[in-house]
Amino acid sequence: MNTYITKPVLIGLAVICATLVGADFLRDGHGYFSFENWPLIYCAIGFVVYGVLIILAKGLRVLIERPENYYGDLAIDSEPEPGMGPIAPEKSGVPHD
Amino acid sequence: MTDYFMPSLIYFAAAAIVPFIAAPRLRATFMLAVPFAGFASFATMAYGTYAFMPFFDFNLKIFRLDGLSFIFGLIFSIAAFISIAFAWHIRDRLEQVSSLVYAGAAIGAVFAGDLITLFVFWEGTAIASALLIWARRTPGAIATTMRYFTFQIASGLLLFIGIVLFYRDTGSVAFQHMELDSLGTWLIFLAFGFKCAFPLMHNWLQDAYPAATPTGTVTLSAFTTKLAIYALARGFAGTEFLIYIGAAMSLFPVFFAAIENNLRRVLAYSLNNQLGFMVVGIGIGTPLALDGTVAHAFVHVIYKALLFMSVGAVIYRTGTAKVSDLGGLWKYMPWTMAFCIVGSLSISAFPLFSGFVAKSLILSATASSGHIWVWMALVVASVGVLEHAGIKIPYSMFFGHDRGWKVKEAPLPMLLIMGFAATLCVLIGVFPQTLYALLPYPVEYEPYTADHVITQLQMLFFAALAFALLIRFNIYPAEYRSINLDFDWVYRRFLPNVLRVVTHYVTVIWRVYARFADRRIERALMVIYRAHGPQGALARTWPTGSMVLWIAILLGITLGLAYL
Repeated sequence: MNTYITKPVLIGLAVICATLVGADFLRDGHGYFSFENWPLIYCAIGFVVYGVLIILAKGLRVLIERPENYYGDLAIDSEPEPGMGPIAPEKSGVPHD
Repeated sequence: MTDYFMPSLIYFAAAAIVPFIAAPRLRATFMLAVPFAGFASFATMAYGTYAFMPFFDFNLKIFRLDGLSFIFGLIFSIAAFISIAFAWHIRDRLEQVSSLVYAGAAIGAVFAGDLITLFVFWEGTAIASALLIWARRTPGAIATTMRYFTFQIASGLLLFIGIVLFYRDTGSVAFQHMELDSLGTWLIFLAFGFKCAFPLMHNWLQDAYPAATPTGTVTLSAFTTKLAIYALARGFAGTEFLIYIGAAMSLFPVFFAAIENNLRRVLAYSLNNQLGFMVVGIGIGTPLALDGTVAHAFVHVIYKALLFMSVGAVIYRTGTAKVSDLGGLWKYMPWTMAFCIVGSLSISAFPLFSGFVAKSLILSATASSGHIWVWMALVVASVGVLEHAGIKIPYSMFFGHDRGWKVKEAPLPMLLIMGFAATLCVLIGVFPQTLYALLPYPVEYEPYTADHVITQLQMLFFAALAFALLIRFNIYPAEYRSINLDFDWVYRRFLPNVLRVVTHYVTVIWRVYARFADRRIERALMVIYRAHGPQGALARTWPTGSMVLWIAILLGITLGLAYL
């Protein structure tokens, strides 16, 4: 279960976003293109583009996803990551059981 | 010979000495001094061309110092220092020597005043960087090294043929602005494109960078691709084709990065995306755009190294860079987390961080040149950067799903160098004019206007809100072990399979043909055997009388015919 995007985090983000909506009135409207001066356009770009990007990426994943050992021994995907030199093994951590 | 001791020679000389220094600490300390010595060798020199060397009929210009080469020399020196410092604990002499040769070759290429010198150093970077991947010494890494090396050599070959044709056409090998008006310049352009990871030539990057050692990847991330950016800026600034190539480069990797499980490959896609911004700037080619490209390359080398170092530190402690295996490390690696977040904020172009003051130059230059669709592509790509490098990288390692890791913080030398890179990211973000003063063209640009800061924060925080909601409603892509196919599938699976099928059918056809031919030959041999074999009519021993009789008959027939 994901424990980090909690309700307080969401509320905090919402408060920041609400503040930035208010700050939209401080803009001086000096964009290069006329649509840049539309109210809250950058809020919409950030929110919508992010959502669409993730949904498209999930769709792409359906098409191109393969098992980790797809390329067999000719790739590093199913190999363990190497330690970083001779002192790595004894200092490396291990997950809890 | 040369009349000046070049910085690249300092690196090569150090690389020759390093294997003979037995004490590991002394060796590491010696290596740390090399970037300082290299930079000191050109830091105070006046701009000009210094080292000339006769080579057949050419007079090679090995060291050209101007605004463009100076800043790339500076950033490569910083990158060399960061990567050497991060590899402080490394004892592998192959990796140490390779990293010095690689940095020296990249710096040598930046200062090359002619195409022949560029070619020599260009190949030097290819060989030395391949060894950094090979240094992992696993079967997968060795196979990856071969693929990587093939691409790098292909780039070198194209460059070589391009130089020959360019010389035939123009009678010059000067490395300066070129037009895409001949086969020679097109080949040189493609050679640069290979190293710059143009679309469909890009997969060596995502293939090789996760395969190197964790320290090797930090080194790799700085030089090859930024050398290609330098070469394009030097040779093809203002080439409109580059604007569209750059826009494509900035866009497509964000989709792959969003669903990639290996964090070093996520960063490789991110690198590809960042190169796209720089290529757009080169394509636009105005002084503001070129300054934007150079500024972006400068800050990018630092924050990308910082991100690769933070992932490297996590690999060091956990032995994995996979999203599906990581999470919850903030409790145990708080400093690494903090530095990683600084890198993420920088690459996402948050105000007060380095990416903000550099990327906005390119976006402004794109908008002011009237390329509205390209500008929109870059804005979309900026949101994509926030997604994979701003959020996914730190979130999946340090927060995300708590996998129960209980590890030590990264070692002090790693923390110190990550702290150094993070400090640079903040300082450049807070004092952008310091960076602007180093740029090759005079620039009067103020990134901190109310409009710019507000709109950037709106875009970033609303994107972050979208992320939080997607996580909350379980729409965000799930983490599990997998890989994603990219264009490399064509030469790693499709073409070998096509070759296998073709080989099979050619073999079958050959066998059928051979059997058919065998029969025909056998029949022909039988006919010959019948005539000439031991019992053959033509091989039989006839009595002399028979022969005389046949001669008489033939003469009789001839005589009869003569009277007709």
